[in-house]
Amino acid sequence: MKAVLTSVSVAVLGMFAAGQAYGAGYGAAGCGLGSIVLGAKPGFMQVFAATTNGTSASQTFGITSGTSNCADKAGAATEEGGEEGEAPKKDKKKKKKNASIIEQRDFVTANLSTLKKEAAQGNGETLAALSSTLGCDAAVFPQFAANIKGHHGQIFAKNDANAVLINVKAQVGQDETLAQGCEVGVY
Amino acid sequence: LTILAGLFATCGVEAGFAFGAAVARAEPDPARVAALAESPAWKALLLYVPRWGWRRTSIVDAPDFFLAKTGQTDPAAELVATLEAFGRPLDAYPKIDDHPLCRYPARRALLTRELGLADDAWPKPKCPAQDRWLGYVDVDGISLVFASYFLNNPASLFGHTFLRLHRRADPELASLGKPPAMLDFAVNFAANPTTSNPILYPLYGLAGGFPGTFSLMPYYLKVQEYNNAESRDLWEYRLAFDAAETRYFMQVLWEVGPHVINYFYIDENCSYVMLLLLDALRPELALADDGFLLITTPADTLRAIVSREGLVVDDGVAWRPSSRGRLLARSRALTAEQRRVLHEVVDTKSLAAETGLPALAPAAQAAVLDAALEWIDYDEALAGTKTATLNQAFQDALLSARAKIDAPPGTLTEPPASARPERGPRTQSFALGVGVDSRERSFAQAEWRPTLHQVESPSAGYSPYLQIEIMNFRWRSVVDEEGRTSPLELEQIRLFDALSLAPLSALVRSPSWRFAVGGRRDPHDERLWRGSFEGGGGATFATSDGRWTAYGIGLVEAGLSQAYVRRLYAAPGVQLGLLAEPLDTTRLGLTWRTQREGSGGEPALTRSRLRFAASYAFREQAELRAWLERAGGGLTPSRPEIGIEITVFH
Repeated sequence: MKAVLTSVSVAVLGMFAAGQAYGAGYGAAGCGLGSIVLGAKPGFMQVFAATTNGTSASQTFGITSGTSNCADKAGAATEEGGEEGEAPKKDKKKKKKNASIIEQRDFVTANLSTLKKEAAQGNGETLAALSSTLGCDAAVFPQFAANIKGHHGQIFAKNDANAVLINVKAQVGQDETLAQGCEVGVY
Repeated sequence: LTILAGLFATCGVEAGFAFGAAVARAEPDPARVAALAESPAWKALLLYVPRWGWRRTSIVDAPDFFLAKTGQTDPAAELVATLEAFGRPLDAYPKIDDHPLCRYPARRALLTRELGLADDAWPKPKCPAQDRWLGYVDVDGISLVFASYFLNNPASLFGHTFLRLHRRADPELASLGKPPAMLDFAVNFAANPTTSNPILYPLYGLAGGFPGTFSLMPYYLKVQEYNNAESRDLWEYRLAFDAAETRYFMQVLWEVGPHVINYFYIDENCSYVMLLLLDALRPELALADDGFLLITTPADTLRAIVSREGLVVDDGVAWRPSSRGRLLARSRALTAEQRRVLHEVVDTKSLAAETGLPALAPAAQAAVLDAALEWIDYDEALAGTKTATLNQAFQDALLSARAKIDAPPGTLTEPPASARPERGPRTQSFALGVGVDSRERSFAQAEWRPTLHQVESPSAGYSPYLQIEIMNFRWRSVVDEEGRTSPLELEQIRLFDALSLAPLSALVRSPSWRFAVGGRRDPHDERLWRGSFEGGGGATFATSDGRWTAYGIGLVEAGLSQAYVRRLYAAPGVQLGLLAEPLDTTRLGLTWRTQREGSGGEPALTRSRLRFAASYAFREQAELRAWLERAGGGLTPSRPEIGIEITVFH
């Protein structure tokens, strides 16, 4: 029996960008997922896995900070902002709209197959969430979706989350409306 | 110095042991402390478990969750210890995060409120770790999420529940619109199996041998896991907790989250822990008091939540379909002609003119392509970065064609409210029946069915294609020819009994299967016992509305019987079934089974059984069933057995 039944391969452990997570757009608890392969356990084991619900990516990180690299990232930002535990003051004037690079990359990694489909369809909840992590205003989402749809072949040429992210950002940069309405961050 | 001494003299009586004004202000009324120690609110916050109507023990097994040595079983001691610990000087801890005031923000809030203390009764240290975490998980609403059962995936036999935490809309990010659901947080409680040995796994699970831990993750991971990797529908129930309550809930999670709770499959499982957490947040809900004595199923916990007036907000139920659900919904939305094209496209994995696709209007083409894309999602369980391997070129062609058509994807029609998982009866039931058996004796029988659903029962709230029973016991008493009544004796045990019927269609072709382990009176001689297991596979056909189902399964039964000299026997055979649900309340089942049974050295014999059962459900609480069963073959000639029973769901 295979010891590794399923799960997430967390390839980029310990990589965190201080200052990115806090006081920025709606990122989602990224922790540097390299690639993500979610799957049910085979056959017999499923019956018992069913009742423990430890089926796959569930145990990516502990619930509070200090137990994982992911939540540490949230913490790193604050420590930078001063020992009083307040948000970094240097960012006070304007909050960044985009999520951190790691969060963006994790999002594309975990949702790549869905994004590919929704991008071709030109709409969808996951596509909208991608637009948000790239700091795109809700008002430009139709334009965002149309642009991605129009360049679908190029953008998804490789099944590689990082490459897809770079391609999307490049498209956003080349589009006047999107370049103004989004704040994609680095790349 | 004199002034200081004077100060001590005035407050020394009340707070003799204390050395600061802050502590003195936190000196509560002993009567109130005693009352609070036994209050539902305090016990709920310590995650005490109701057993036989009384909360005696906390479900948390990690000693470091408690401040008193006896905290897991003595709420009063824990309360005293907490009051003492809150009074410790701040500099007693090198890291302020370790001070009880930083570790137990929810306890502090509860004690302050319930003991009528001043808001500043204890000092308010800055707790960097907690502030960071609360700043990061910045949420203002909670949903309970149910991951449904799904046939042909044993991992979903019972369902699962977890929480979705809704992000607070940040006014500074107003231009981004409402925070997207996918970027919300999920809180999960699951076991961390320490073995994958198939023998040890269930034993550890039953005995609480696996540590259960909480985890926090992006909601999109859960959506990918359930909807796409496992093809299970998600049902979200938005709970009526406001921002302040959600904040308190985060403090509860902060206290409880890092600690281990031993995971028991059948009762102290994911869904039960979710109930305890919600009880900690709002003790008057008393969700865990809803009679979860031996077995807790996620659907029953969902029923408890839905039963509390106003707890689920109006129109707060949302369906997030699995890949299979999306495929079926998109396929249903097509016209007959479009559906024919879809089947052609999927069968030939081509978009060529022969499929009829190019002849359709662009919007219709888009609808067909979208359904075909869902078919690949389902067929290959696409999730995360997984790519289509069997259909790679086909998928590329679909995507490329779809991207060229300027039409939005159609909206998916939500299943009717009657299909929601909280509908239907509770999973545990007791049945009492009477009848005349195959030897023309009257009998009375009792059956305990702790979980989950029988395929002969009306399917509301469950799948019409799924039977799962665990630890089903039946006792029977008969009146013999001379009028003597035998005592109630165990007649049958079904340790595990599953029948999963997967209707074949042009798009979904999964096998149906059966697996069962149990013991029963031997058909040769009812004074003897046999233990057996059986397994097999086959195919199912059903009408699209699910009202009529026919299946055939080839199976092998094997086991040990006291009737055979060599004990061991094997019996290959077939089972054919016809199920009909003409009304939502009524289900009819006809089953025929024949087997060739043999044991080494003895002549093989053919046994068969024909059974008809009609079941009628009363308002999700009770069920009436009548059956006629005729055994054929075997050694002793027999008459048909007829019986009638009433089942009460509890």
